[in-house]
Amino acid sequence: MNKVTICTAQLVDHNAPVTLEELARFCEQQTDWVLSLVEQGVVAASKSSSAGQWVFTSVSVSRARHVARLQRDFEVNLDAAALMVDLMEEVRHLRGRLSLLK
Amino acid sequence: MEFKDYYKILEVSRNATQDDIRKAYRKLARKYHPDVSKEPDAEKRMRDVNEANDVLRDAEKRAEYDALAAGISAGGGQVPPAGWDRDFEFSGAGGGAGDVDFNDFLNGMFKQAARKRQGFAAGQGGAQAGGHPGQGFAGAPGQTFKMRGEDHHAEIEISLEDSFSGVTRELSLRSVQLDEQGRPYMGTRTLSVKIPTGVKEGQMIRLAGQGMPGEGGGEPGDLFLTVRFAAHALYKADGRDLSMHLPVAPWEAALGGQVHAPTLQGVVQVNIPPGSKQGGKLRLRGKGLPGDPAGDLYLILDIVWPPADNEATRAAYQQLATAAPFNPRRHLGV
Repeated sequence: MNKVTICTAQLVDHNAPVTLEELARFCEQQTDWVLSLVEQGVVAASKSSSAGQWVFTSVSVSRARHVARLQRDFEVNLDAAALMVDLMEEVRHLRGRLSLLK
Repeated sequence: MEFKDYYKILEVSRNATQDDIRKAYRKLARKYHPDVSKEPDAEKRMRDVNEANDVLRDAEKRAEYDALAAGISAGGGQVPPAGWDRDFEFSGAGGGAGDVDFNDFLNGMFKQAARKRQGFAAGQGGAQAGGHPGQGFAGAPGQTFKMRGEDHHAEIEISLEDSFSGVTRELSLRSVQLDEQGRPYMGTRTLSVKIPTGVKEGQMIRLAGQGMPGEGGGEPGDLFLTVRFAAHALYKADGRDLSMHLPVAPWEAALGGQVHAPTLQGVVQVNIPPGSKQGGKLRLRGKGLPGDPAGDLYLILDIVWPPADNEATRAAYQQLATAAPFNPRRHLGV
């Protein structure tokens, strides 16, 4: 029989955010790339209280990964990829609203 | 059981160049992206296309995939190794709701398998374990190197009820492992994960140490699950807030009254204010998904008219027409 490992789930939220280095690793990018996302307002970040480092929660992680993927697959620059992500999120949001009207 | 043929999915030949693969991917991404596609199974097709692209676009992973595919055909032709079925990295116990989008998961597996194989080769023949910039290799040729295991990212689909009350889910993880000869095979392990109450769509969950194992004493990677909600028959979630259509009779809307409404916490009594309109919204504070603060439940009023299918109802409609003469088309000027 297979061994079952019981593991503790930790929400990636303000109490246990993802670090700058981790986010860069998730996106297969350098930390400078993540910092440019923060500077251009593509993802939200907050400073951790202890180390004063940028930290990120779930929404920012998924946006950053999406931008990284689009940049990689379509070879577009950061601005274009960020715009694509914004538009896709808007489409999804509107589709959600639309489904309530049906 | 089905062996996923990534070349077939991307509609390219086995000797396709990187450029062919890139072009094929972009063409299919436009065709199947769920945000733009009109194809009925776009989401699933896009997932396959992404998965195939993730592996084939990367020379290292592609070689590993080719080796595994060759092993399958060499080892008796038709029978794929255990695990090469449709949901092959994750299968959730408990009836369909454990479906996971494991695209990135697979991505990591092949990468790790490729590195392992190189590490294996290095250990066997003293070849240099190199060529992977930025991954923290340490040690000279022939020595063991220390490397943190890959993180894995996957999606997990749960129901709103699961989020409301919390749920323990068993996930079978199937991963590419190497046998003593350095040949890849599919292994399985099972994780029991307690999903905390009040998780939202898009919420990420970290399972520390449950990614790929580290190398040479390096720490294991983490497994990250992103929560997706299965479509619900009644409620639509937006963050922790929920929305639901609540049918009401015309007299309930016009005169007001108390009606029953289902919530995740059970049936509640709702006051419909007099003069309520079609599409009007009522907010039930704190009746959404739990959390700090808990979400609200919005009831969208749907006025439903009884059919005039008997004498008494027809008489009642006629009486209404006389009692409340009004022209709903006045604003059209007719």
